[in-house]
Amino acid sequence: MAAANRCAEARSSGCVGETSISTGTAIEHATELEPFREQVPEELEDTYARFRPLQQLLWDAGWNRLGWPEAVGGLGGSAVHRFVAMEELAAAGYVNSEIVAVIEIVAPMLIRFAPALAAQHVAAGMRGDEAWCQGFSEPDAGSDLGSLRTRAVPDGDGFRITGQKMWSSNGHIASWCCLLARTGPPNSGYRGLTMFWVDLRSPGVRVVPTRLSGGRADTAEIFLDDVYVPNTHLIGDVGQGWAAVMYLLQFERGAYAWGRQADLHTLLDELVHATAAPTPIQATAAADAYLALLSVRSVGCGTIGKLAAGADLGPEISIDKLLLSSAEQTVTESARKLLWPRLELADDESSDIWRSRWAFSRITTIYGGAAEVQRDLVAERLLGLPRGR
Amino acid sequence: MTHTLTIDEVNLIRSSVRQVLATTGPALVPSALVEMGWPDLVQDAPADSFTVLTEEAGRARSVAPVADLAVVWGAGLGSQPTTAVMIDGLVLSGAERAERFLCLSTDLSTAVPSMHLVDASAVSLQPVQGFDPALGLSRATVELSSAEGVANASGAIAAGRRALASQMVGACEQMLTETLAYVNERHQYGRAIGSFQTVKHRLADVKVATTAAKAAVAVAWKVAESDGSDDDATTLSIAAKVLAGRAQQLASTHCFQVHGGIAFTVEHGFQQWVRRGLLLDLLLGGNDQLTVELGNRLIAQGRVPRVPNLWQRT
Repeated sequence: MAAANRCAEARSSGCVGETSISTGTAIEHATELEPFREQVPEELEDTYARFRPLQQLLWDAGWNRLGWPEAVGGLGGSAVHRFVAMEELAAAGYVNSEIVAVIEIVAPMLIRFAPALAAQHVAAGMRGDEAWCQGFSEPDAGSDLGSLRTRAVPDGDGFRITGQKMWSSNGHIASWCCLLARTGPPNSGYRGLTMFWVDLRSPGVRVVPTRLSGGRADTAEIFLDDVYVPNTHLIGDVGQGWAAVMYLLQFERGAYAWGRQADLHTLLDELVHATAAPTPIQATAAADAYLALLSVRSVGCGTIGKLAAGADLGPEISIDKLLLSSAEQTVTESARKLLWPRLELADDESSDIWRSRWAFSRITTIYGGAAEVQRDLVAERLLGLPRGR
Repeated sequence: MTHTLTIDEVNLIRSSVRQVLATTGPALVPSALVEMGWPDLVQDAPADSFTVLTEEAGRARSVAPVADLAVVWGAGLGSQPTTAVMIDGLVLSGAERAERFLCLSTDLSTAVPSMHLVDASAVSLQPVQGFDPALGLSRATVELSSAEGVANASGAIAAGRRALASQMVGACEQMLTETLAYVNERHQYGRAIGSFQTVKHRLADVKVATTAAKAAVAVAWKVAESDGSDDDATTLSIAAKVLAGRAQQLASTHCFQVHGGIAFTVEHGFQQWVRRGLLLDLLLGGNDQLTVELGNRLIAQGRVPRVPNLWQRT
């Protein structure tokens, strides 16, 4: 079958020859893996359920255990192995599950700031046994995260948290949330923040999905009313919340970006494969998409290397972030031009999926720190221009 | 076997190259480089050597024919300081040094670009002023009877595109450096204009585009040096040149704009960057044509190259 062939091709091209990944997996399990090559319009909870067996298979076969420390159930070694595995899956036409995305972003922070919680949760997250989400943004604190108002007040051996979070990706299917709350006085800015590991099944938690323009409820609002969180669920120390967020963002801009570009290359493969006798507009569209992806990948390769070596990434990651969001939007816009006018007019399933990809890509210059904030950071911290707006 | 040099080694080459470019007349730069030991450097580490040379030439807005060295090397002819390159009938400054010319045609309508060597006596030159008179371009006419065929035209063109891309990257970096100095020093409304968000965002965009173009040139070299297909090497050299061409366009536009009226004066000199950018972009395929060419290649291949590979990371 095609997937197996492409996997074999990938192997013979040396893709995994120099890693210790058990490369037979994709071929041996081709039948089991077949469902994961397809994307269908469905609700997030259905996608989550559909991809669980893939996550279990990958974990049990050791594919995505590389690069995680043994203390959390991993096989040790460099995370680069896992990124290569992501890439091979994408190149063979399988989708990198959204379940993994949030784990790749959050787990390194847990491992660094809360080893005991990491030992309990990372394997379960990677296997798809439990879903996670992030609770950072609030109605009045988007890119300006330092102004967040959700309060955490000490109470016995823990804290009581009250407030409102929004834009939590996967929030309505998650059982755990890494949540940023204010433990300092209201005007304490970045200094007065603390990160918590919150069980979303606790009394006082109410989660309301938010349906996005792509048609699916991808994110949720989380309302917290006097929710008890024990001290054992602190991620880092009290007041260390901002350091934890900064640490986490490196993985959003490194690991997550690598997975995304791998998937976007696969989508572009599909598009150019399906195009014949291109018009100059279509040729330009294909080239634009490729140039955007090449930019992410060329710069990102160095970023991934530093990340795997445990180096701090520094302000350069804002460049990665800007390049990825631009690539997300350029690829879907190129799809619109290459498939024209199907996104606008056709009612088949594939056009539906492309429409929701297009719509979703519009948000990529907003989440995780708006593009304007990234440009400020590039200008101030890389170019040394004066602070302030 | 080629090597990747250490940062110290690269810096050493960089300062030697700067020295040569600053103290040598443009036409003599190729022979001065050969005296400096260029053939050994290129043999050892072609990617680093050519990248450093062409970036520095771009940064210095040098009219020395450094891209010629890359094209001749890419054609499989080694380091020949007295071979000048003719691209679609155009010759860079320094043609007077030439004992022979390597003539390239990049007509995108033909699948295989043509290339041949001719003796300098068969070439007559007519100076071109155009948009960038300082570049010292000439239009050449050739008596074809004395031509000698050269095989590796696609390798020559790809190496030339990578060289021109690096020249544009060097130009972008220098434009950004000069512009940063200006916006920090120039005050309006009681503050440095570099503190205005719109100015910062324009320059941030230049930084991002330049960083991506520079990284893509390195990838294009890596692909050219790997055992992979020539197709990918051609594709990546085109992509790198387009990214550099776009970065150059963005830098010209944004840096020019935030300089305000002063950049329009001949005395200030910034407009020379704009002129040079247009010409570097034109050689071996302008970015609009190459964008369409790149798209057609990707669609014809039915897949896109996934490079660089993590496992080949240096």
